[in-house]
Amino acid sequence: MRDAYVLGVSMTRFGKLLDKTLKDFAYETVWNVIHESKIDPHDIGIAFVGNAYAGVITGQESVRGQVVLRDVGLSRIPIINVENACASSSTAFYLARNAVASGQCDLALAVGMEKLFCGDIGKSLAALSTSSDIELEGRMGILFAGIYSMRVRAHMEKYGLTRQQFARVAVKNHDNGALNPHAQYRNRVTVEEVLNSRMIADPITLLMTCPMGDGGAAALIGTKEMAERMGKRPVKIAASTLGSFGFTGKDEPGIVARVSKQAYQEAGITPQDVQVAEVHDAVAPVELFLYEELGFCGPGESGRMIDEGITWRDGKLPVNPSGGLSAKGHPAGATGLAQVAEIVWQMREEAGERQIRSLPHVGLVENGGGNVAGETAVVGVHILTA
Amino acid sequence: MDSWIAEVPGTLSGSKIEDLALIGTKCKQCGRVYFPARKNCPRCLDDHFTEQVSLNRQGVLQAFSIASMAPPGYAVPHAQGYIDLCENGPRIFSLLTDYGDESRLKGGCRMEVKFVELGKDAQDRVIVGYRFRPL
Repeated sequence: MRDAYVLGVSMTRFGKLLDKTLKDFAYETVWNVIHESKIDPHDIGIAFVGNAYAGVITGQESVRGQVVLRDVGLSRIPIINVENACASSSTAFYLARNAVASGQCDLALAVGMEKLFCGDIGKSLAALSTSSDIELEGRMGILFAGIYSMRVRAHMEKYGLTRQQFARVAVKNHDNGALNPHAQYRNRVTVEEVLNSRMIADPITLLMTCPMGDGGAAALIGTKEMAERMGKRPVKIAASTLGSFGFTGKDEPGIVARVSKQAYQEAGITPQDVQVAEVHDAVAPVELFLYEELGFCGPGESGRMIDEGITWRDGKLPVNPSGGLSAKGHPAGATGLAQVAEIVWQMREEAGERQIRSLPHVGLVENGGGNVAGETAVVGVHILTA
Repeated sequence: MDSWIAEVPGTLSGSKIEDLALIGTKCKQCGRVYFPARKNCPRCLDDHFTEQVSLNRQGVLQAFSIASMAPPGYAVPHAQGYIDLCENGPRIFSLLTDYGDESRLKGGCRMEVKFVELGKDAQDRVIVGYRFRPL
C-alpha cells in the first residue's frame, strides 16, 4: 500500500433545500474539488458515490451514481454506488483511499449527497427507519432517538453524567455552527434553552438532535505528487478504517472503540495525538460517549471534558468545530465527506471564523450509520495528518 | 386460539397462546444463545451445533426510554427497553407494558415477558407480539 492524500474537498450549504436536487449537489461539489485539486478531470480513474435514502425519497433506487455523474459530465470510468446509511460517504472515502493506496488508480473521486427533507416528515422518518433490520427491530417501532436515549440513561446511572453536561455539548456545537456558512443552524443557544426545548426521548430534547436536511460533499483522493502540486498543505490519509456491528449487543469494547483502535494502529498514533476531531453527534449527548470510546478520555470522564472546555473551539482538543451533525446538519449520505472536508480545512487554515487556535497536524473523523442487533451497523474512522 | 403468527419472525413458538415461549438459538459448541432464532452460530460460523431453545421468561431491565415520538402506528408516549434475560440469556429489545407510571421502571429491575394479541393478518391469523412488564 502506498500513501494516499486528500486533494480538494467541498461541501454545499446544508439545509432544507427543496429547490435543489441530488444532481445539483453532485455538480457543485465535484466541480469544486476538480478545480481546487488542479488536476485534469480526464485523469479521474474511479468514482464512489454515497447516498442512503434516494430510493425511498425520490424513487431513484438504482444507478444513483451514474445518474448524478451524468449531470457532472463524468462517464465511462467505473462508478460504484455506495449505500451504508449515515456512513455512506465515509464508506465512499474509504474505498477511494483504497483505490489509490493499492495502486489501482492515481486519482479517485468520492462524493456523497442526500435529499432527506421532502416536505413530508412521515416519508423522511420512514426512510430513516430502513437503517435497521426492518423485519426485526423495525416491526417493534425502534427509533434512533430511543436507542440513543437508552444508552444515555444507562451511562447517566453508571457514571453520573448530567443533563447540563449533555446540553453543554449542544451549546458548544451551535456556537461553532453559528460561525459556519455551510451550517443548517446558525443560531447560538443556551443551556436553559436546550433543556427546555421539546422532549424527544428523555433526556434527549429537540435542540440536542440533528435537523433533517439536504446537501452534498466531495473529495478527490490522489498521490503524494498530486498533493504537492496542488500548492496547498498536503494532507495524508494516515488511516481509513471501516467496521460493522457485533452480534450480542453486549460486546466490550463497542464498535467505535474497536474500529478506532484499528485506525490508531494503522496511523501509528495514540488518541492523545489527535488535535481536532469531527464525530457523529446525531444527538449531542452521544458526543460524550464518543470521547470515551475514541480514547480521548477514560470511561465516565467525558463530562469533565465538556465542563472544562477541552473540546470547545479554543480548547486543547476541539471536537466538531464545524458545528457537528447537531448544528451543521446531517444529510446522511453527505455527512462523512463533510466531516473530512472540515478537518482538511482546519489543517489548511481555511476554516474562516471557526478556525481553531493552533494549526493541527493530526485530525480524526468518526462517522456511524444504522443500527443492527443492538449496535451501530457501520462505523468509519479516518485519521488525517499534515 | 386458532392459528397465529409472530409479529416478529423467529421470536415465538408454541401450539396455543397459553403455552407460548420466546425462542432463540443455542450453539452447543460455544454455548452462546442468540435471539431471535437463527440458522447458524455467527461466532463459530457453523450450523452443526445449533438448536432451537426456549428462553427464560424473566430478565433484568438494562436500559429503557420513554419515546415521545414514534413511527406511524405506535402510540406515544411509549416505553421501550433492553432486557438481559436471566441465566445469562441474550439481550432483547422490547416495548414495555403494564408499568403504570415511569417510576416503576429502573435500570436493574426484574421484568417478565407478556404475550399480546395485536389483531389479525390477511389470512385471518392472530398476530402475536411480545412485551415486557415489571414484576
